Amino acid sequence: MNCSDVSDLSSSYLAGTLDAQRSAEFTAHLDSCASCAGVVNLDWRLRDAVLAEHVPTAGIEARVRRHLHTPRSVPRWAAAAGLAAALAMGVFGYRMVNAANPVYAAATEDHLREVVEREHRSWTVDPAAIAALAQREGIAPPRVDLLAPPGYRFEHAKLCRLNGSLVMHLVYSNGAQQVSIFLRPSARTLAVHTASRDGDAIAECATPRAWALVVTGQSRAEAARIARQVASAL
Amino acid sequence: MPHTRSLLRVARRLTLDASHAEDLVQETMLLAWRGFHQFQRGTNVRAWLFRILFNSFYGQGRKSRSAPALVSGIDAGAAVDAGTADRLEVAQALDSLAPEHRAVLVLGVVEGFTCREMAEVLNIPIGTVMSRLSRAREALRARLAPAYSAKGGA
Repeated sequence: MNCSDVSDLSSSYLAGTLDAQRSAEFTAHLDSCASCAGVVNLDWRLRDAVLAEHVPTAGIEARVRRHLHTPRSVPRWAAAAGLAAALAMGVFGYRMVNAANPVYAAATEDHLREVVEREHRSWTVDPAAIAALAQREGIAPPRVDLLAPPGYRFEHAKLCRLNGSLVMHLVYSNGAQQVSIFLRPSARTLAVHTASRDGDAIAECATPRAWALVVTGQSRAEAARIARQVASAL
Repeated sequence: MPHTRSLLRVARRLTLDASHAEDLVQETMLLAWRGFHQFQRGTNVRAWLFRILFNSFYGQGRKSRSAPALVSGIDAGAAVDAGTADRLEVAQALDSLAPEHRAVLVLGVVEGFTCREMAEVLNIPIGTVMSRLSRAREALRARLAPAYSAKGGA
């Protein structure tokens, strides 16, 4: 190994990604070359300084997703040519929202950003305050404990809008998975039916008291099971 | 999204402005999305993304700032331990370098690109990358030398 190799491989050496033999050769060269030892020492300080900095990416990723969810921003040819390949190559790790049902699209978007990625929002955790909020907006006050899927605990809730309609967004977690339950007033009964949107399962149901939409990263069957339980608890 | 953090780290060093860097990365991701049909499968997707970022940056005319914003997130006036002080000193020295030198240092040393990959990203000969990286290290070392600090910078 020569000085030019050290210059090129220094970052890999510092990152610990050189194989054992190359790493041994690298170290041996440093032991005999003070100039290269100085280069690597400076590189170490530089990596340490830059990698220690806080680099928040959630805002950018949310903005990119919003752009991509705007139909005109995604030409058909681009989607056709690149979507599957881009996802397969890991260029874009996000999930595309099919906006065919705007309420489902909005719900899965909220679930992704506010629950899975935990973008900052103002949530309410007190069940009594949540019930009061719901009542004020004409939504049947939810019994958050009765709505909890088995094995899940209630985390928090807030009022928000889905495609223009005011809803109560309740979040439950079992420590690994989260479930979003959206509630709003209803005047009719709707049997449970399910859909899939971008890796999330959605189940919709309604009673004369309330309409509910369940969003979860689990299966459609699980979403339907949760929705049936929600319907019986409404 | 994979690579966003690396793209943003590099963009911040190029632009020396946090909000400008975010705009640059957003533009990069959208251009990558729209131009994915141009990506040759089997080639280096990370290098392809960074090439878009650099093309966007240079396409914007660099928008250089005469008074670089502190992007380290460390309050220069606050009491800090020795490790933090060294990081701050190194980050400030890096930010004081020419854009071409900042680019090869952050790509090569921080993000782990080889000289060959940097040549692809920056669209310059590999020999130019190697000499530029060598000069960039020398410039950084000079900025961090006690004599330079005592003079208050160039």
